Amino acid sequence: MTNEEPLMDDEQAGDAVAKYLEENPELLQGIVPEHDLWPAIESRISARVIPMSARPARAARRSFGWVPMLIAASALIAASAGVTYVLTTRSVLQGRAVASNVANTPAVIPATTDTQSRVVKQGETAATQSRVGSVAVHAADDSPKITQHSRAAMQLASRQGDNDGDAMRQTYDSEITTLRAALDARRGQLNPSTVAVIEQNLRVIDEAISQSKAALAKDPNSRLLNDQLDRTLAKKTGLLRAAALLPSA
Amino acid sequence: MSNTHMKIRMQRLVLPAVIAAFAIGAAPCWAQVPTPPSPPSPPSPADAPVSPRPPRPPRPPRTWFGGDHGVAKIDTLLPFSSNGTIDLSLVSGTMKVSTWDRNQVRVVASTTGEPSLQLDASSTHLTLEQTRSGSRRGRGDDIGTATYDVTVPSGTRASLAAVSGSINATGLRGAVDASNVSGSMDLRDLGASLNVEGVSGRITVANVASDAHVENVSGRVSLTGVGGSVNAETVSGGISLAGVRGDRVHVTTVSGDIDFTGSVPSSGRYDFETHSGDARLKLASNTQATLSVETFSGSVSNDFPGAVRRKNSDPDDDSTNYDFIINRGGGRVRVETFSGSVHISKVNQ
Repeated sequence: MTNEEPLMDDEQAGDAVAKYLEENPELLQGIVPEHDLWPAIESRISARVIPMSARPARAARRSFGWVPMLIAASALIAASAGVTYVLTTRSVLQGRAVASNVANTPAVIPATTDTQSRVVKQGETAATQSRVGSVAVHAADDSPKITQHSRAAMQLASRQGDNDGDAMRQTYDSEITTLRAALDARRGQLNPSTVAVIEQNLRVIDEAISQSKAALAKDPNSRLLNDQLDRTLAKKTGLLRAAALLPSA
Repeated sequence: MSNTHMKIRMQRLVLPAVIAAFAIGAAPCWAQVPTPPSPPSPPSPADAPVSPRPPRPPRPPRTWFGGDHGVAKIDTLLPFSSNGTIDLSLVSGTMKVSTWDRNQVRVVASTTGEPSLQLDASSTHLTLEQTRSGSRRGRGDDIGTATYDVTVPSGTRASLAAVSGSINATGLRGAVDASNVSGSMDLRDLGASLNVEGVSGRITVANVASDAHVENVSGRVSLTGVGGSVNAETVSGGISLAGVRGDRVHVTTVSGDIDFTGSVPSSGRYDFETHSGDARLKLASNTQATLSVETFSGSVSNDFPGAVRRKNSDPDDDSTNYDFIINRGGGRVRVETFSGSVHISKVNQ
């Protein structure tokens, strides 16, 4: 249709549509569905109607009452605790697995009291998690932290009393013996001049320890002397541990 | 609204809240515990994703020099984050780290021995190391002497390590972790915490805005202008501190001397411990502090004018124990020695 053609009125339009349908009779046949829809429609409209007042609303509500909620909450608590336990256990096991891979790390667990054993194990955990087996240059990174762990724990133990103090010093002696063996085992890998520095400073420490012990023999209750001895023992332990972790020359 | 409806509404609200609370509580457990990476499983039709995953962000480009055996020389300029991390290590040689105001890192490194330098850098992390030819290739010990000259953005965090070399770093605003066995370390103008560990080399630290932790064995330790707390330890090396402004100072040595110059803040707690070394405290004239000095066999002397000396006597204790109250007290200073002498004096500042 163009703008030049005259517009048709309603009668003319009806005639035109009738003529078009005569020329195209297939348009009058409609669309036949692939299958009979009536059975499904009938089943839906004949379904039993349940009145709203008959719904067991209160019974349904009761299924979410306080008791089941408490049971559900308890289950969630148990699940949460279980997850935490499993994950924590896994973390610890991973740490142990890492520790077992660390070479040349002295494991020092002197057989003393429970408190002492826990004290040393704390330091040992830190030690075994160090990166001894990694790039040698970084090997000394963790030693001060190890030292701090051991020292803090041991000084804490030393304040438990004289007997515990003696046991603590036995623990120091045991750890020193083990670390000394570790250092001796690595001696060939270390720079001789570095070993000489270590040995010289160990002698300085040993001299301080013997002086403190001699003074303590005369004045065993001196807090100053006990602190000095503990500090020096801790220093020796720390130096030996750092030396055992030194990078190879 | 009736009570029954109120209860129903409460129950509707409480149950989801309980579930949400436990979900929130359990989430940090999953987040905090590291889990080992599992190997990738082969794809199967059943594992096909229901909805398409969003595309992964592109990995930052990496730069790698050295291959498996290392190179003898590196001279490169790379883009780098303003707060990235560098990890430098060498066996023997010198390491110099400085800063500039560009988001780039400049690495100039060389070695006199067999090619042993390896560099791995992304836009946020750079590692430069001198590999051991013996361990990498199973032959030779000629690792040579390396020279590093690295310039980084000032906010960079640094981990610097050497076996027998010198380390110099200046201007870093990020945390610094340095270790050395027999070489010296000189660390200056640092904006964050500092952790230094050495054996026989001298350690010099100057102008640190935050905390400083320094450990050495026989080498001397010098700390100047530390804004945070100080923890310094040696076996035989002397320790000197000047211009410390932090509230906590802990200095301990076996035979090394301790020299402290400066003031003590009124809230300060400063501890100095030595076995046979001397402790010399040169206090600013305006210092307000109480000094508790205890020694077993060392001498104690005081030249600070006006200091009130009070002897603490314990009949069961053979040690010498004094308190010195300076300008009516304030900060607390504790000095303990076995045989080392203690000397207190005034310095005009």
